[in-house]
Amino acid sequence: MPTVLLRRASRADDLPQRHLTIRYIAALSTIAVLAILGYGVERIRRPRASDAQLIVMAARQRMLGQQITKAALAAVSATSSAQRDHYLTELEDSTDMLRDSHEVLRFGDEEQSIPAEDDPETLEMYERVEAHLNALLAEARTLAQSAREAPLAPLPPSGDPRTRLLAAETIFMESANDLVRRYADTASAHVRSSDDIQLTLTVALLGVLLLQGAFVFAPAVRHVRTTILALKDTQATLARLAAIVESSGDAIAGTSLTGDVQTWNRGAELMFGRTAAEMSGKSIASVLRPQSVDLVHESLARVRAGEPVAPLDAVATDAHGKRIDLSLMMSPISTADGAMTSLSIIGRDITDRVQAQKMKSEFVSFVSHQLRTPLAGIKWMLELAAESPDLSSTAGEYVADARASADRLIDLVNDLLDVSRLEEGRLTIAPQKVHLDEMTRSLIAELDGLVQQKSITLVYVSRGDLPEVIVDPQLMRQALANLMSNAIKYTPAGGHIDLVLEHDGDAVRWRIRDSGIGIPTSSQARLFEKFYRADNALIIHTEGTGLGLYLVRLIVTQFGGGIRCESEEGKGATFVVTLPAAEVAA
Amino acid sequence: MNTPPHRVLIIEDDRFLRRACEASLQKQGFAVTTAIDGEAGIEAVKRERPDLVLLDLLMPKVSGVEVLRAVKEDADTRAIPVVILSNSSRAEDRSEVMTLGAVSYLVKANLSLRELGAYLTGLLEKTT
Repeated sequence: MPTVLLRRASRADDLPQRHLTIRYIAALSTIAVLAILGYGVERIRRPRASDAQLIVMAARQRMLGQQITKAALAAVSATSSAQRDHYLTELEDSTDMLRDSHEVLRFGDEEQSIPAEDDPETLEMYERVEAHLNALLAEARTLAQSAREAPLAPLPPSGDPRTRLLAAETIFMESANDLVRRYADTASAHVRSSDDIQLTLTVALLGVLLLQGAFVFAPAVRHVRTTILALKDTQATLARLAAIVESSGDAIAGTSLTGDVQTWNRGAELMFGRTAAEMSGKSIASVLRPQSVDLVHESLARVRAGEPVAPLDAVATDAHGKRIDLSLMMSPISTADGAMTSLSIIGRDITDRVQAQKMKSEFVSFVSHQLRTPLAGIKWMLELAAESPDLSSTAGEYVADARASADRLIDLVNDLLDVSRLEEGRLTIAPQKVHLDEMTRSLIAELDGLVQQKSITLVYVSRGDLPEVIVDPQLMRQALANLMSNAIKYTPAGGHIDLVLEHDGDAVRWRIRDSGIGIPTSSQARLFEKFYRADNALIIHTEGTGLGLYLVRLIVTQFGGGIRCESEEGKGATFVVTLPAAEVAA
Repeated sequence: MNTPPHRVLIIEDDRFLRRACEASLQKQGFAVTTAIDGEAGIEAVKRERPDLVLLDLLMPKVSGVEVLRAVKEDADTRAIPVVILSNSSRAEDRSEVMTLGAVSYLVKANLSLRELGAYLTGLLEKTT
């Protein structure tokens, strides 16, 4: 039972586990791919480091434009030539710096990792900035020139180059502002697109996690729950089984394949007066009496060989030396895949039964002896009386009847004795090869008187070359004689009996058919029971002990044979005995 | 019929069986002496030296088995054939007496006196 349960559970477990593992790996891989993808996109689309630098440089251009304007204005307004020269130098420096930074913005600079501008719109803006820059520089230069030529001279109020410079500066500043704005816009666009990608990836990741929850985690939880329930179930079953084993009055031991005790139930502790701890690791033979040790080892060997083993009677001793008669049932314990791992030995205390049987047997033996002695006296006295010459013919008939009764009584006692011994297996049996044909012929000769007396026609046919059978000749003779006497007894005067002995595959078949009253179908099933007599047998007042057929069955089965009856009421009866042929049985 | 009759000693404690057996065997031409128990039986064997002993097994005081043992242990009587006539058909009893040297083991109730006489005649004629 528990092995079946466990097997079913483990088989059901395999598939979902594999599925879940595959799904889990798939989910993890997807997450990994998304993470790598996110990193890659981040790398590619990250807002460029140069963006900030570009903005700074563009802003610096504005500042340089203002500085140029300031320097030119300051130069023409200088109060000394030194001051003027200073401003002119500043003007030139600023002009160079503006030019340089313009070149960098326009064509890029590898040292500062600023790429060349390739956006056509921005390039167009550069062109504009450049034009305004040139205009600004031209005005600045004009102003610087006039500062050099006519230092410290007041400037004419109209057409003043200072006004023109300021106007050029304003225009330049506007276009430079546009450029700065442009760079700022590009940078924030970069940031925005990067955010979008991050968001998409995060959403995808959450999706994968959700799917994982639905298709991996939820089924896994379900699976774990089912498994736990199945395990609890199994545990409960095992606990119940363990409780049965523990509460059993029988001694139940689990042993290794060699018969060393592994488990020892309460019943065993009580029966043998030895605790489980004491017995652990000890051979089961340690509780057996010497006469049983070999028998038990033989049976265990047969269990190991996978053969079916019938319960074995054995004798054991408890801790106080008391004799215990046991019926031992031994069976293999195997795992689900069929490997034998240990043995189970169940011992039932049959001491009382054995004792009762022994008493019964002794009683039957005693009674038989006690009955047979006076019966022999009667038999012999009547025999003497029958031979007495001064016996009247009437008295002679009475004596003859009395002798027949005495013989019947002796037969009954003999049958009882045989049955009792056969049942207990106490009858000494000497099986040997026997020719059933010879035995049958000798029985026919012996019973000829009775057959003649009732004018019965007895036909015996022995077919073919018949093998011998292995039986105890005396017992088998008794069995066949019983069947033949029955046939004669139940066949009316003038009837006929057919006896056939033939080969039947690996067996020899002995068949007797009478033309008697037959046996009702209702009685046939019980025919071979002890003390059973068919209803119609009682009606015709035939004598019988109800032991004959029972004894026949006991004897025939003793030698591996069988007996059956085929009959219909009023149409005679056929009894068929089959016995294994000697070559096969041997 | 010049040959002397075969001398048979019956050792049997049951009065009726002893009497019936004695009467029948005498009628069948045997010279019969009887002993009523084991003790008397052993003495009778030594005294009479019969041709054959019919011996019951279950007897008070000295059992048939002990009688048989005594007969077989004594060199003078060892050769006398002993037929066991018992009503026990226990296999142990049978094998015990056969081992001790009994000729055969017969069950009284299953035997008529005529059959017994015929059997003993056959046995004695074979041995002499």
